[in-house]
Amino acid sequence: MYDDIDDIEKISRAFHRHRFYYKLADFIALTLLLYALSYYFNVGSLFSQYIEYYIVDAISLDEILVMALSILVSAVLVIILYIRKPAIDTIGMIESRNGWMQKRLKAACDTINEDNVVAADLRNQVTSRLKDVDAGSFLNRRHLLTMIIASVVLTIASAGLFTTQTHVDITPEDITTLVDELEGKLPDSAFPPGDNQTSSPDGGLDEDIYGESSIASLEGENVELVIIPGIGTSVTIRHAGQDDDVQFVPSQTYPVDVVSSTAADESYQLLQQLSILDRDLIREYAIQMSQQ
Amino acid sequence: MNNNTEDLSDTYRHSGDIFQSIFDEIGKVIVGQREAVTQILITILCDGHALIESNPGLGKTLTVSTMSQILDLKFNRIQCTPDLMPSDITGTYVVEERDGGKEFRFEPGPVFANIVLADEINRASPKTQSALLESMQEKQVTVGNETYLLDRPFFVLATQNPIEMEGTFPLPEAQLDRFLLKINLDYPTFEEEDEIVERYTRNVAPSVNRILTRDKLLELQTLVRDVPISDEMKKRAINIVIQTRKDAEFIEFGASPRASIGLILAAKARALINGRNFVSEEDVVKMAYPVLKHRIILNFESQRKGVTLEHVIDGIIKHAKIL
Repeated sequence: MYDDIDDIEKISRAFHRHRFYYKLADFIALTLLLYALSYYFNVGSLFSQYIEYYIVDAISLDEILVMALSILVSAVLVIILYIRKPAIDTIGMIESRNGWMQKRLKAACDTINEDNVVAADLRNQVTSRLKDVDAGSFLNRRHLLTMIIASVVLTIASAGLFTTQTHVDITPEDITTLVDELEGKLPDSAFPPGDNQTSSPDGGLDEDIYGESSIASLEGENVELVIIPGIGTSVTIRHAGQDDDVQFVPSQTYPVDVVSSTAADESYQLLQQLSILDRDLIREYAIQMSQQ
Repeated sequence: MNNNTEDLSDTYRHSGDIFQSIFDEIGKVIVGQREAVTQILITILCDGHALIESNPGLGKTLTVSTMSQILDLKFNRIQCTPDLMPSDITGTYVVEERDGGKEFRFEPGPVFANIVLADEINRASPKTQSALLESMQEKQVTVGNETYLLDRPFFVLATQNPIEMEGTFPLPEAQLDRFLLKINLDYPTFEEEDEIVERYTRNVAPSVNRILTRDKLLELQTLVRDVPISDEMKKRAINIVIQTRKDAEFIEFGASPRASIGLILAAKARALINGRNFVSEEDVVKMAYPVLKHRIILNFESQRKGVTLEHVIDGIIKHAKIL
């Protein structure tokens, strides 16, 4: 429609570029905001079944899904926001910033096909003034700067949330209750009585799940020694007397952690079957108890 | 054609000076009445006709005759009376002796001029009014079997006396629609009246010079129609006229599409006179009053509430939205 007024076309293209910048800035800021909020409110628990799948070594599938969800929701919100905005009115925007252009620019554009002295004079005046219009001055720098600063702040906040440990706002009493509940799920053999384990009057286990180091001293001949997997970090066999070609069944080795005790024999495998949340609770409980 | 274009360009370039000279020149004779003079000039530039309503003694005839002198146009005045016949306006055949024989010769009436002032047109009979109005519309006169074209430019400035309405024949609404503008002349201010007395109580009467030729005036008429108007302003003007037909509260009959044409033309002429090469919203709004005043018929409700035409038009302009 305004082919003969090239400057208007250039300015119109610039305005469309500006709108694209606004959309991009809004999209990035909104995505980061949603991601930070989803991390804070533990939205990732919705995808807990994918927690053990890793796409990239350091990033699990559930985190990627949370990010994808944030991107999708923010894209939808940005689309809705900008669909509701009116179409770019290039002429109206130019006229609003330039009092001289008001009504003149519209009249010149609407009569662009008229070939007469007066219309030609108006077009010449408008065209010469359009060359002085700087499309960059219409860029809403404040909006862009605000979005950029918000994005930076949200990125820092997200990074902070990511690196801090999971905060579990529960008391030791809550963990005790949970342990009691868990006791009902596990067989009695999971927590065999030992020197450092006493059964409480209520029938539950004592809270001391750490065991003392013990040395088993066996004497005799033709001793049938079976090392139950999970006991101790290692077994050192020393025997006095002549060397016999005795074959011993080596035990499994496993890393030292809270389950590395006499309580963690067959129960270790059973405990591994618990959910990550339950295991995290037990870990947190143990830490708090150790600090008392 | 090239010469015409060059002449047109030259006239356009100097249009500002031309209009200023016209106002300066008419100011030598007419004191004040700037708005009325502007509207008369707008009517002439739009190739239309105007209805002037004013009390006696406000210089209607003097204004029009001065304008005709400045524009170098032939001016005739018709004093309308109840016994005025159509042939008194259009002309008639007279018997003339020539070469020993008699033949009919057409004697043109006073309508055969460039500017015709029909004074107190509401005193003429409806038949006579029709004869004049027909010549206004057709720009030609038919007498018997012969049709005579009127010279261009052709303007009729009809006057009505709002005081003496007894024994008059008010123009019907359909005929009023043929007038582009209705112009009101107001009483002068004290200072203006002082100036009038000063000028016209001396021996030397003020005189004016010719500013324009007929060809230049025709070029200005062409330039008026060339003034660009945006679609937005065009719609605004049309919407104002349409609203006169939709307003049922105070209006009995609204304006016709002829008013839309007249409003846009008048706005263009006003823009050119004010040195603008485009039509502004102010042009449309200012011209709405003289264009619509004689085309709207108010109902009884407005008379009962004392609502005037100006109030009604004011309300329409404020509430008319761009379609």
